[in-house]
Amino acid sequence: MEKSNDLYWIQCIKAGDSSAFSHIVSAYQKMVFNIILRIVSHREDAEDITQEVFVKVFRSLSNFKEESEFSTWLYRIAYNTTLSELRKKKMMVFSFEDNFSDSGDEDIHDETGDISTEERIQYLEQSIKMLNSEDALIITLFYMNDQTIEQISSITKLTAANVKVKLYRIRKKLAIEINKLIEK
Amino acid sequence: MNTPETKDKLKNMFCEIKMENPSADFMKELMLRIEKETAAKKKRQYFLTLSLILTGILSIILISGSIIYFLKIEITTIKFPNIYFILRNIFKDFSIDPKITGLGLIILLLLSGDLILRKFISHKKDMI
Repeated sequence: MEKSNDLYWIQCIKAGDSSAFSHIVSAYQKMVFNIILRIVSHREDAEDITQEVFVKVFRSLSNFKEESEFSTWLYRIAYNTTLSELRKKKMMVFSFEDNFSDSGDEDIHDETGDISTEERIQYLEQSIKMLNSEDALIITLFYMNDQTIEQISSITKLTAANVKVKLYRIRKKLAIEINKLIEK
Repeated sequence: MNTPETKDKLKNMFCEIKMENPSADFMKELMLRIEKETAAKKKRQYFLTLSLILTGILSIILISGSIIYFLKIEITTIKFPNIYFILRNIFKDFSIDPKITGLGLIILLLLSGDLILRKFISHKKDMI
């Protein structure tokens, strides 16, 4: 969706036309829903959290400064709301103790080409669910939503260097988990 | 270290994930919640305005009351102009029929009351 379109609808909502919000929802619901769906196991939970995200976006629209990028602002709300909702629902996955620091550079085995697409997706989804919620959100934003490191830094309020380090560690964790699943 | 620019197997795997749509009722339910939010916001705004007006009226009464009390002004010492005398002088040249004037005043009062009631009802409907 074009940035100018977003701004047009935002101005309509700010002027009192709440039905214009449906255009914002249509533009972003699929992406927000899919990011959340990668972290929670059930569609219903993902839909609940997605709804909560959009209600919060609607409530906070008056605080949105139009000089910043709307999508980054929306994803920041999505990121924070998802983490707090998972905490509330006690679905937050806390980081399992990682022993990856001494495992060297890990890459996904080349055998991934030999397995079916369904299996590859299944392995990836299983591995994402083993990550802690924050890491799962970061990697999903980076790969699925094509957010840049700077944008992720703005969404998560982490420094760009920190995001880079986190991404490196998450990729390593994922590679190890996927390899384990392939070997099985 | 794998960089996003280099050949990234993870990226390819993520690309293979099919994007799913939320259920058909998702948008309907969400927009219902948004409508409720808007109604609640309007209600809050209405009560805020009402309480501000009431606070304003109360402060006017309190301020003037305390001025009168602390400066020990006696109301009886304030001489209000004789309105009846003024009105009689203004309208002395007109022949006013008290019945017609009274009827007109009653109609005006009823119309004002009707207007206030209609506004109140339409506001309530908006909030629902």
